[in-house]
Amino acid sequence: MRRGRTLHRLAWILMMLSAAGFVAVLSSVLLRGFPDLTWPFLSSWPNEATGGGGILPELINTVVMVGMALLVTAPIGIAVAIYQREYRLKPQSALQHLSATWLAAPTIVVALVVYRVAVGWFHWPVSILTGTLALAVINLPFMVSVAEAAIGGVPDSYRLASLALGASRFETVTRVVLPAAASPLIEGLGMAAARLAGESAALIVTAGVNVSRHFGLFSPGETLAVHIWYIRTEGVALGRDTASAATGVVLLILVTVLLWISRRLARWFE
Amino acid sequence: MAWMWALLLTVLAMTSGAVGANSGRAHLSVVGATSVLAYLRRAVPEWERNHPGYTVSLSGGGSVAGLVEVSQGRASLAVSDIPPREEWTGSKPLVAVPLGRLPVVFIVNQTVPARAVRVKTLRALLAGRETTWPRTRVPVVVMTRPLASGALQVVRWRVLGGQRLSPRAIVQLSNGAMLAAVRETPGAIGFLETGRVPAGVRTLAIDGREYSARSPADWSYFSTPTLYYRVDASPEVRDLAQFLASRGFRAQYGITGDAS
Amino acid sequence: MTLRSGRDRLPNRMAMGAALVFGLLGSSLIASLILGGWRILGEPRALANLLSNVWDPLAGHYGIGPFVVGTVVVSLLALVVSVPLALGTAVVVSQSVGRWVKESATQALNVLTAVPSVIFGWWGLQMVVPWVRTHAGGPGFSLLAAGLVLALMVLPTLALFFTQALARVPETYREASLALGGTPDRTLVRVILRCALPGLLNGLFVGVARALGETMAVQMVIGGNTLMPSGLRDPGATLTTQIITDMTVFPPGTRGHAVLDVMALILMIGMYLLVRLSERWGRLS
Repeated sequence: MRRGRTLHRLAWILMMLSAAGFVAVLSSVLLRGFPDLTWPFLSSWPNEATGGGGILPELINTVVMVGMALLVTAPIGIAVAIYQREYRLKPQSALQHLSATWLAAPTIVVALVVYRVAVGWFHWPVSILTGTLALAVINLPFMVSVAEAAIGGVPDSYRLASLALGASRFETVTRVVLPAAASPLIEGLGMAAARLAGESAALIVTAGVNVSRHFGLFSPGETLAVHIWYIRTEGVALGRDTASAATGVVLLILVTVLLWISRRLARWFE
Repeated sequence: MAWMWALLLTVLAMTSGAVGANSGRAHLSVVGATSVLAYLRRAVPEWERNHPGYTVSLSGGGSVAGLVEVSQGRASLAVSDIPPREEWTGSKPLVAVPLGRLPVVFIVNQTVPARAVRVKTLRALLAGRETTWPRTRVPVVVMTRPLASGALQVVRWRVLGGQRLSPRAIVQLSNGAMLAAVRETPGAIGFLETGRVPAGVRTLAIDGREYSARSPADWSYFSTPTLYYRVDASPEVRDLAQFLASRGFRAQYGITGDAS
Repeated sequence: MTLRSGRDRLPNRMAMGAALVFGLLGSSLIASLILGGWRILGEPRALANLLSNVWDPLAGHYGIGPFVVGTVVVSLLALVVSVPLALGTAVVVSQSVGRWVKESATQALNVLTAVPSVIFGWWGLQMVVPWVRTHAGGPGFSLLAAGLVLALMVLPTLALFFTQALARVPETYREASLALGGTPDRTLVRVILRCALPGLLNGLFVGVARALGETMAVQMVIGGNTLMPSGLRDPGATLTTQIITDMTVFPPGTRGHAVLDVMALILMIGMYLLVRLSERWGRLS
């Protein structure tokens, strides 16, 4: 078995190279950011003049915006998936094309449209609400695809058994299919939350690059990801690189925790 | 499903509550250029203290966004480095209250041999006609800002006489990105809107004059950040604009004198 | 499976309503871009203007050629670098013996796909731009730097899809090939990769879509130059980065904004073509 393993060795080398790349990215952020990750940093307000200060409002904005976007999109996404998988004999292909194209849409394109509609037509300001709308539009096709995969993974025999016992379609969906699909659904929700928490391009134009002293849905809502970009690029103070890296560490931790919790919960539902 | 609807309703209730709370008190909004955001951030709370019952929200978004929002009635006050154009304001008349002058300083990388140039040379460098630094072979890397930037307008009209900057120039999205890029790129030249001489780069003296924070009046390149409101604005908005344009500590943020 | 029960009528309508809302929202997304871009597309000689290479929006020249070239070159470069790396990773992960190794590697890739793009952009500014400057010359901000940063960004996505595609090939195929005397390499190329081809292509298309659509990480390192780039060391711009750079100067309703809509529309058409391609060749059996 020693012969003919050249390609496998090459594969090993390639994998090591990719791993080295990620170690380089993550370590450059973690090493710089960890020393600055203190309690005052997490619990105080940012200071634009020095580029320093804390990130409390950004943390709150991130959680609020991602939470609201998920609350709005998850029920719709699941309902669309139920329609496609449970109520149609064959999933509608036009809807599938639309969903796939929408899922692939660059987030800045979504922001362009949301900006025109929300700011131009509805006269909303650049704010938490507009940013949440952008996040919801970005997330909707992702929710649909997650829910479709989860519901599609439930074996047909479950449905047939339920229907044979006299249950209606609706009862089959709510009592049999959804509980059986709960685990991948929850994992998908975690993935969606992590994806939204890292969004920056769309939020720079719809939610703004600073935070207000007065929290409200119509006040500007900078998130953690936008904050990293903003202090890295706008601040003129010397400490901005470490502040930016520390924010990056917080964001990475947030994303990892979201994924971990959703996985734990998913296990519990299995 | 019921719990989901309950949650949704709760959120809606909270939303309307938040909106109601905002409209219960008088709410003003200031939108525009980020170059003076740090100053406004300090001045606005003072005004709020003198006017109980009023809250003021501040947001960046750029000069053009500010002008558009004010002329369409979405914001009370715009902050802009660039004069309004008809296509942004829909030819609605706006009242201008100048904040002062904010210097535009020319910065170069530490490796650049030149410390002072004549304005003719500066013009050639920025327009891309001169591709190496005078008397050396160090290539020039010009850094610029997006079209919406007030600093770019100053450079284009006050230095280049309306000409375009070098088409090879590298675009940096913000003031701070410009500083970082010039500091880290050998042979780079760029411009900053700032009252302080930044660390890590050199400033260029133009025609024998060097910018210094102590005597800003000697320096002849500056942008003029200005507040704009609609002609039918409420007395509070006018008062806020006057208040912001007259604080003595503007100088700490590099804003000096009258704009003229 | 037909809908006989009367109890099903209301839930059916509700699900249909949700699907209708979803469809309407999605189509209005596209419609809004066409509506916004029509101002330019309806002009005489619009195509000649758009397809030229001169971008001077304040003077009325809206040539988007350099950005299309930038998008294509950067994405291509990113894929050329990341596809071999992703394939290598997928081969090692899918052929590893322990189940624990497979599970944790998949989880790690999953976490890596969720790493925010600003973090990659930040790393690019710190490491890739100086590296390009010293080794390739030029200002450092370049198509090359953007391509390298993007390569690392799409790598986890590609590797994840490739691993799943390889895992779907039945173990018996491999064993049969080895039993017939095929070397491990031959088995890999002629049996496993060939059987997994549709899945691999599907993953590739997803990777291409991600590369085409990435904005922030690319914007931070590409330089934003609007001239037609003449080499990889030159700075440039992509469709997405130019949209975010110029969006603040062209509010909705202006002629410049219409051009941004056209650029977005081109991206969406590209995405639609990718979806159709992946349906044609990447269908998962």
